[in-house]
Amino acid sequence: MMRLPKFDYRTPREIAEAVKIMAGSGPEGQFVAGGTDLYPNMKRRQQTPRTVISVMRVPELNQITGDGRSGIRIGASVTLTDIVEHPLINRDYPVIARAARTISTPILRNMGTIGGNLLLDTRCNYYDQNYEWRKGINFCLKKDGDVCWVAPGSSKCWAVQSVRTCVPVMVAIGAKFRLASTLGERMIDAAGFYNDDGIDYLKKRPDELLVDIHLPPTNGWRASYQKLRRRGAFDFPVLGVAAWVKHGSRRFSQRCTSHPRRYRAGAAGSERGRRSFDRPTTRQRTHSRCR
Amino acid sequence: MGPKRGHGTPQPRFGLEVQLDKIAEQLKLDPAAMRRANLVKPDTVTANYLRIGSMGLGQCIDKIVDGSDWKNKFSGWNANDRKLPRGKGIGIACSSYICGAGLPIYWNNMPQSGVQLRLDRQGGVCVMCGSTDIGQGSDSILAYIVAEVLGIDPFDIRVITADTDLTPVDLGSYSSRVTLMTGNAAIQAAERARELLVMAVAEKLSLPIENISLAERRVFDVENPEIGVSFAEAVVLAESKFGTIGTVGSYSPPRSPGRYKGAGVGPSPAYSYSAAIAEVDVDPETGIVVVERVWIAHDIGKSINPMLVMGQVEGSVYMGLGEVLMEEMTYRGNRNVVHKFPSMLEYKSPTTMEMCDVKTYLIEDPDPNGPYGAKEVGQGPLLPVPPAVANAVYDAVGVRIDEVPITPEKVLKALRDKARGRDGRYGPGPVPSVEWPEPLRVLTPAEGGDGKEMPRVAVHS
Repeated sequence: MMRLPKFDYRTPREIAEAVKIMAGSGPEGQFVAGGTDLYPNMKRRQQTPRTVISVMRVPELNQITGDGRSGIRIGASVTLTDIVEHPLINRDYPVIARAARTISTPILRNMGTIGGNLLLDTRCNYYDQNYEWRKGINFCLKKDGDVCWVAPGSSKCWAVQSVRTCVPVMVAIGAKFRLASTLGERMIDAAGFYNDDGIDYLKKRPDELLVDIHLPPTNGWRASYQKLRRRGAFDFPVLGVAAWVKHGSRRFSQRCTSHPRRYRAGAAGSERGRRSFDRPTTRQRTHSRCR
Repeated sequence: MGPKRGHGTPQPRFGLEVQLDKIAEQLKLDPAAMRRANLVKPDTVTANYLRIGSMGLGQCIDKIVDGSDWKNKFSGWNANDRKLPRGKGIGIACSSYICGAGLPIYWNNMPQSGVQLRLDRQGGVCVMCGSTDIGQGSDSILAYIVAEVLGIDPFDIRVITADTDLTPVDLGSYSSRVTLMTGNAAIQAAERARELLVMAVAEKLSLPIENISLAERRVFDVENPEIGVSFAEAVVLAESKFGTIGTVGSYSPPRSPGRYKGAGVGPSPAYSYSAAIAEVDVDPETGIVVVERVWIAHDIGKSINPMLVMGQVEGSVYMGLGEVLMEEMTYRGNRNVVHKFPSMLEYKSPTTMEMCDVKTYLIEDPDPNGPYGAKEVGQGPLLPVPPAVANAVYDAVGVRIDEVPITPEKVLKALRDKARGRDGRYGPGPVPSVEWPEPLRVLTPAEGGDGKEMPRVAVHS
C-alpha cells in the first residue's frame, strides 16, 4: 500500500496569507486545491512537498461573479461539479460547462477544481507510476533520472500528454488568468501561459497562486469543444479541440486551438497556436481548420 | 489479454473461432450454418474422450440467428452485395466450457465438495459449505437447493460458507465448478435429511414412506394433503427418534473415460455452450470500433435462479468487450521489464459508456450430471464475445485483426496496408518453430479405442 509522506498542512483564509506561507516555504511548498492529482502523486513520490498549503478555505477563490455581459470571474478553487451545475455558466458559457462535464468521473469532479485542471502536472506513462516502478526503469528525465524514455535521444522532457481538458477552451475564447504572489498580482493570457516542455510546462512561478479565471464578455461569439479519449468516461483526453467563432456585421472571425498529445513546433494546433482570421469564411472551412 | 475471467481459455477460443470464420469464407459458407452443421452430439464421447451430456449449442445458434436477423445482415462474403452499409458489420462465434475440472486442483481421492446440514427444532436449517461466494450468488444456490429438497422457503435457511473452522472442504470458486459441485453435494445432504424426516413422520402418521411428501413448510400425505405436520414438528419427531439431525453430502466428478497421458485435461461432469453475434460500427477514418449490440445465447442446462444466470451472461459480455477492445497486459521491452499499465487508470476497462445493448437467451437442456440439470455460467459466455467482435470487424471493413485488443491503431494500420495492396491483416507472424516430442497415438471411440494410448513402437537407429 502506498502512503502519503509526512507534511505540514496549512489552511490560510486569505490570499495574502497563502502567498506569504508559500514565500516562506520556498521550493518545499506546494499549493493544493481538490488534491485529486497532488495526493496520488505524493503517494507515488512524484512530488514530496514539506508544506502543503490548501487554498480551499480562501473565500475569494471559491466564487463565481459577473455574467455574460460583463464577463465572468471564476475562482480557481471552484469545483468542477459547481461549474458543471452553475446556471450562469450554463446559460452564458455552455462550452465551459460541457468541457468540465467530460472530466474524469462525478466523484472526482466533486473534489477537483477548475484551477487544478488548468495547472495539472503533465502526465506520462514513464512518470505517473509509483516510486518502485520508476526506480525499476532507472527513473526518467522528469523526475530523479536523466533519460526521457519517450525519446531517449532527446534533451527535452516529452511528458506532454494533453490532460488539461479546459485549456483549449480557455485559449480559444481568450480567457485570462490572475496570478498572485508576495510581489503583487499579474494577469496573463491563457494562450501564453503554457510552455512546450514536460518539466517547465507553465509560465507561472512556483510561488505564484492562480487566483481566478477571467472569461471575456459573450458579445456575439460562440465556442465548442470536442474531446477524443479511449473511453467515454474516467479517462484523460488523447486530444482536445476547441473552436471559437464570432459573427460580426461584415466579417467573421474564428479561433481554433487543439491540444495535441505532443506539441510540434510550429504546428497550427498547439496551445499557442491561437489564430484569428478576419476574412470571410465558410462553415466548411471552419470545420476543416478545426480538424 | 488480462486474466479477468476464464483465463487460459479465451485465447485459444479466439484463435479457433476467428480461424473458423476464415475457413467459412474460403468455402463460401455461412459461418452460422457451418457451425450449426458441425455440432458434437449429446450423450457421446468425443475423439479425445470427453464425455458430453446435454448439448444445447444448436438451439443457442438458432436463437441468436433469429434474434439478430443474421440472414438479412450478414454479407455472405460478397463485398459487392452487402446487406449492411460499409462500416457496419456482424460476426458470430461459439464456445463451450467445463463445469468444473474432472480432477481436483489438489490431487487426492477425496470429494471435491462437501456440504453439512443441521436441522434445528424450530424448523430452521443451517447449510455449511467451504465454497466462496465471489459475487456470483453461489451462497444463495445452496439455500435454493436445500429448500427445494426439504419443501421449505430459502428464507428458513442459514448459509455458512468459506469458514474453515465451521465448514467442510470445497475446493473453491474456479473452473466454473461451484453450482454443479456444491449443488450436488447439497442435494445429497438434503436428501439424507429428508429421509430421516420422512421416516419419522411416516411412523407418526402410520403411513407408508412413499406417501410422504415435503412442500410449503409441511410434511404430509400425498393422497390426503390435509393430513400431515409442519416442517418444524417433523424435525422434532425425527430428533426424538434419531437424535440430533445433521447430515452430510459430498460430490466427486465421474471418472473420465480417457486413460492416455494428457487425458486429465478437459474432462468435466458437464459442458456448457454459448453462441454470440456481435454487431459493430467501425469508422474507417479513425479505426474506432463501437460494439453496438450483442445477441448471446447460453445453454445453462437448467437455471436455478434465472436472474443470477442472466447477470453472469451480461457480465461476461461486458468483460468480453474489455478483453477485445481495451485490456492489454504489456511489458516494457526486454530490459528493466515492468508492466506498462500497472494501474486501473491506464489498464483500460470499459465503462457504462462503452457497454453495448445485450439480448440474452437462456437455453435449458438439463444435464444428467448437474443439480436439477444445471450447468455453469461463470466463464463460458465470455468466450464467444471477443471472436464475434473480431469477425464482425472483418465483415464491417474487410480487415482481419488477429490480436486483441482490437485498437483503432491496429484497424487503421490494417486498412492502410490493404489500401496499398497488401494483406489487410494485423496480428502475430508465423508460429515459432517448436521441437515437438514424439506424439502419442490414441484411437478415438469411433475407431474402437479404449481410451488408452497405443503402445509405442521402439525405433532402433
